[in-house]
Amino acid sequence: MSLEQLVHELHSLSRVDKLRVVQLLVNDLAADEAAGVLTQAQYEVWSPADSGDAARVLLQMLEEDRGPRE
Amino acid sequence: MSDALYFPYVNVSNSLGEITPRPILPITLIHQSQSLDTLGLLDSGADVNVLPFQLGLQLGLVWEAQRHQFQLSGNLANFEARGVILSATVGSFIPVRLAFAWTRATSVSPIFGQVNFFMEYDVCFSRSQLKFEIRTKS
Repeated sequence: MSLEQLVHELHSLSRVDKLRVVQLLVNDLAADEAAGVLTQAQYEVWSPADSGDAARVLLQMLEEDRGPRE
Repeated sequence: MSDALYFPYVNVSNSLGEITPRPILPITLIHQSQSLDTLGLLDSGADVNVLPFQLGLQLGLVWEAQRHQFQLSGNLANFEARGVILSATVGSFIPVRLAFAWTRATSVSPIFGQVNFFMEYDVCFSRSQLKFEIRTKS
């Protein structure tokens, strides 16, 4: 069955069955991730947890920049 | 309430080489005609979003042209930071404006913090199930 056919079939499912499919796929992805399948990339966490002044500047920038972009 | 998008936690490594699952989000950042697919950490403890220096350059940002300067905290306090506003798209959600602290630091990954990622999106972390879900704000 092609992906297109599968998607067509999925759309015809009941709401309950759609939720079951979503849960199944999430569980599969989580299991893959736990096994290190998705990525072996390394990230350092440098959290700016006490940057209130920077936050105020960014909020002011957003206020000044109101309107559609890109 | 909008539909949710679901993402798995991703194993990441700290400076000690310890591996732990973290909520890493795939996102598309856009500046004028440049767009960039990248990954970033959802950090509800961070006051601001953080954009690494190299990613800003790849998006065509010019450091000298950014007039809003400020100091970040923690490890990032050692690097200059300037404010920039980008468009960002998560999955099938409509684009939003995200303000970033663009840091001269190069060894940091993108961070999504309270200003203003968590003002645009509602996030539910399910660490025990190694997944998280995101909705656009109500």
